[in-house]
Amino acid sequence: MSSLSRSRWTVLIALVVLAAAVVAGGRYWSLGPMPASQVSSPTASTDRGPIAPRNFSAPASPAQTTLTACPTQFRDISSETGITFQHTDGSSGQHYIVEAMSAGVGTLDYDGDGWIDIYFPNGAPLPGYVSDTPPRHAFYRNLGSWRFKEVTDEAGLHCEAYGLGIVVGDYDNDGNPDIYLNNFGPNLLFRNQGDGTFRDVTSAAGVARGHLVGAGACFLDFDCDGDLDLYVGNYIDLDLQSHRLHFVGNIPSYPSPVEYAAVPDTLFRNRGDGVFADVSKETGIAAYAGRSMGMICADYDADGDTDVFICNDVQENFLFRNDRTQFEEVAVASGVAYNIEGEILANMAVDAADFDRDQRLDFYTTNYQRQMPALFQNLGHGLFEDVSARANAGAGCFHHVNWGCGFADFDNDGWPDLFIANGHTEDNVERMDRSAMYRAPNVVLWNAGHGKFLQLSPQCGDGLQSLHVTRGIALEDFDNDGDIDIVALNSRDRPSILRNMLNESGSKRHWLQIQLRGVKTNRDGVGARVTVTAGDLVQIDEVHSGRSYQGHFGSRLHFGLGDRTRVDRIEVRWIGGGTDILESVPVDQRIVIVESSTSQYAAP
Amino acid sequence: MVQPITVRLSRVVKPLESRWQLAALLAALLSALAVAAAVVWHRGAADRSFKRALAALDARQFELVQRELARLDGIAGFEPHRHFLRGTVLLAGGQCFAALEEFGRCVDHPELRVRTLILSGQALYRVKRFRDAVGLLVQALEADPQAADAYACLAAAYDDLGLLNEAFQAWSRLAELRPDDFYPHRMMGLRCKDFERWESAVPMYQEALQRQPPQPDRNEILLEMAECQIRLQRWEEALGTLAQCFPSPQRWTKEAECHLSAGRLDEAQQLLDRSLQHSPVDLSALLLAGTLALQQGKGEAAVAAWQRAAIAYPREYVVHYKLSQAFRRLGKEAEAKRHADLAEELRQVRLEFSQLHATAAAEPDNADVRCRLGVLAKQLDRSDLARGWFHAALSINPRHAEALQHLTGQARQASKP
Repeated sequence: MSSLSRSRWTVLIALVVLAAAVVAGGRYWSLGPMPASQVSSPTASTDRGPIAPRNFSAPASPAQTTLTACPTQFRDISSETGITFQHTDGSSGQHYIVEAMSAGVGTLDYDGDGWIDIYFPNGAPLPGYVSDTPPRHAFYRNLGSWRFKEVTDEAGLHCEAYGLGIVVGDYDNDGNPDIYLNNFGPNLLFRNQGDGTFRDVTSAAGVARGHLVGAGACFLDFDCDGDLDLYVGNYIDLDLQSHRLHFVGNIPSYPSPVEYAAVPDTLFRNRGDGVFADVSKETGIAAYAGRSMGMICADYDADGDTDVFICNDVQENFLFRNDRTQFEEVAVASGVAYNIEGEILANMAVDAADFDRDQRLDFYTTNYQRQMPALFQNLGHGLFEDVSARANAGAGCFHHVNWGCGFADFDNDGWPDLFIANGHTEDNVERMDRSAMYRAPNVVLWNAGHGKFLQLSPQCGDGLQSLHVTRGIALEDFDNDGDIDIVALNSRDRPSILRNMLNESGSKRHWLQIQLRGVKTNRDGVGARVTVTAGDLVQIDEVHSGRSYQGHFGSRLHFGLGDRTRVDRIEVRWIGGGTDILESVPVDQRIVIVESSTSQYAAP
Repeated sequence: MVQPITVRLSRVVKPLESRWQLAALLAALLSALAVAAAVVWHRGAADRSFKRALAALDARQFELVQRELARLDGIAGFEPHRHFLRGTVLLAGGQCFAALEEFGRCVDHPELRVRTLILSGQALYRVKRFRDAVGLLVQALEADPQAADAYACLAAAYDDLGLLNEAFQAWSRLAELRPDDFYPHRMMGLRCKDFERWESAVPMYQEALQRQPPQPDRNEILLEMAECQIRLQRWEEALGTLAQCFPSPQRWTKEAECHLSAGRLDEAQQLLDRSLQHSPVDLSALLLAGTLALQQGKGEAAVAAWQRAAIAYPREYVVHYKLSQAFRRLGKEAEAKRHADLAEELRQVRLEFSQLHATAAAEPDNADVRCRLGVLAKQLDRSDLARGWFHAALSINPRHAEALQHLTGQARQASKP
């Protein structure tokens, strides 16, 4: 049949780019070499010459190269924690697109007791939804020993907004982390009053926005003036009244994101008096309309200011390069807009870490079913390469819709591993596609240390066996035992709390956790870069506020050290500020480093 | 009261005045009987002749068909059969419109109706009147839901109209009706592959292979299946599949991709070298050669491979995208910009092309959309696709001026020395 060759080609193209948004044309023409004057970090390079591609020749220890069994177990202890939060998406069968988006999850030590607490955003009733008890967000205080107590009301965090994104940051530099919720509808800023309670200061701060569907959000000090500004992602402009039910065959389904117009994000500058000013236009952010989902603010080019990476759903990613007054969108030119074949992805979440220990921050993004997550290796010079296939960084993810993701060194071997949350958007997907699953297993990919990740999740304990529809995640050391645990917000379900049993299994690997205390710069050191050297092991990380799928975690930096028993050197480069260096730091502890001080003290 | 038969007969013959009259009557009766017998015998012979003609048609022995047609000549009541056979012979000879005329004269014959509808559908399909073909084939299937030939042609017509779900359903039904035929499974595998449902495509191809397809179909199926396994990152499985293929540049390139992905760069390099030696401008091989070169730290070699691809495929998006990225890494901003520029232009064309596929699938009667798809296919340097879409437009609106104009232009272009 003549149709054979023709249809093969046409349909392939059709599906690859189908529903993709219009790419803003020509925006990368203006990209020029980074001015040498902007390069202040010793790790940054002013060289615009050829870059030697690498083939992951970094040496790895025998233990890493021979990794065949799961290095640790994750135990599902959700039922033992006292966390009874139940997520709802407010659905009633109408398939409003926003239902599938809810929600991220946020972690913070709100009362400074040294235990990481958890905030779960929740959905809210959509038209047609009927319930006796309206869904509400929930905030849990960590009591230690894996016991949590809900303190939502007593903390003044009662909220019935349609929650999507959450970010934590001390915007008023008073030493108490504040919470910003990016909702479907007006957003909310809760100021931590330092007495265990929060106060809604949205109106006074001027950060409510309005009717848009929210996404991720980030606090960052983009102008390096010492206080945190606020980047707010906007997904789409959704009018529930004009919604019509969609079908695949005769099966109801969610509409495609491309049916909605993309909208620009919002950048608020912190005026320093508790009020934020919308500076989206003057900074260049408003010129780019996208369908934001996850995002992270990170100094990818190591030039000393914080840049912004935005995941766009069925659209090219944005990478806004910061020059402290304006942003230049450089995603296409940098190689992070599309995957390795130049194809648009349904980008969900992003995290940043130096997975290959070359002192550069790499990006990892999650995508839709039958799309590989993308691992963008930072080549330096502002350029990236999608190495997910050769790094095996999509194993276990291809068949699922992937959501929250995060780098964390779960086995303390000094190599950041990956956690990826899965779960489909369509609750009836099995009826449409027998190869797909609504509930899916989450995945841990182990960084084997030579540029390859290994998928050993089925061997990694009951915490990775159960099937959920996970959205947001947070990776934290909830029991302060020196290994990173996991909390996952499951759509239409209770959350999963996964305890990392590394230390309980007798691991001899060492670690160090670092909390920053800014003095001249923002109080929590958001945007500061930390370099930890222990013998031959050199690691970098940054304090990020807002990351992964519309969530927040990891304000306390965690470094696995393998068998190194002492940290030789810690260098902290404060955002827009100076550099502090500490030497000979004992391992297996949590420390606080205060800006402009060469000593540290133990964290509570 | 019942009278004896002799009495009744005597009443009939009573009016006859002579023996001659009686003899004449008997002769007439006998003649009538003989004529009836002859007619019955003749019809039987004609039926047998028609059946032989059909068998000869299946065997493509057209001389035999002509002979049987001659035998049917003049036999009363066999006019539709003669039209049917003439139409079939004409169709086999590629004279589709003449065939359709003949079919038009026999389509109402109850015994021939389903066959005539199917053959008419096939004729219409051949002259690219896909929508009309679908109409007749659907009628055939309403009369005979088991008509496998109708499903085969229907699936192809749906494909060409861009109605892909309907096509898949038709292939699926054909697979049920012809359980030993490899072709429907192969086509369903292809559909799954097109939809990037690699994991569903593999078992379809395996089903097709179990039905012992002849060569070269078997080789093509193996290559397509291997491609799916590669997309599923099942490198070793793909290598096993490829080992069953004929040695060819296509096979070597896919094997190279497997080895490259598994980190065996030397094996990948050897296979790619061999592939490019035999097929120097194979797009997949050139793209892979660039990727491999980049992994080996040979930036200039990567660019060289992709530049060769750009010369051979000047309207291929991915080539220009990769070149733009590679030139940036080499610090050659002007070159990077030039290719990025072109990539962006091609991306826009592809975007519209893909969006219109969905529109075409949703609007089976929209000739304009199909014509536009043809125009876009031309812009992507795919004149073969363009021709198909122009024909699809004309099958909906035979007077579609723009489609006619493009087709004529293409024909002129093709006829140039």
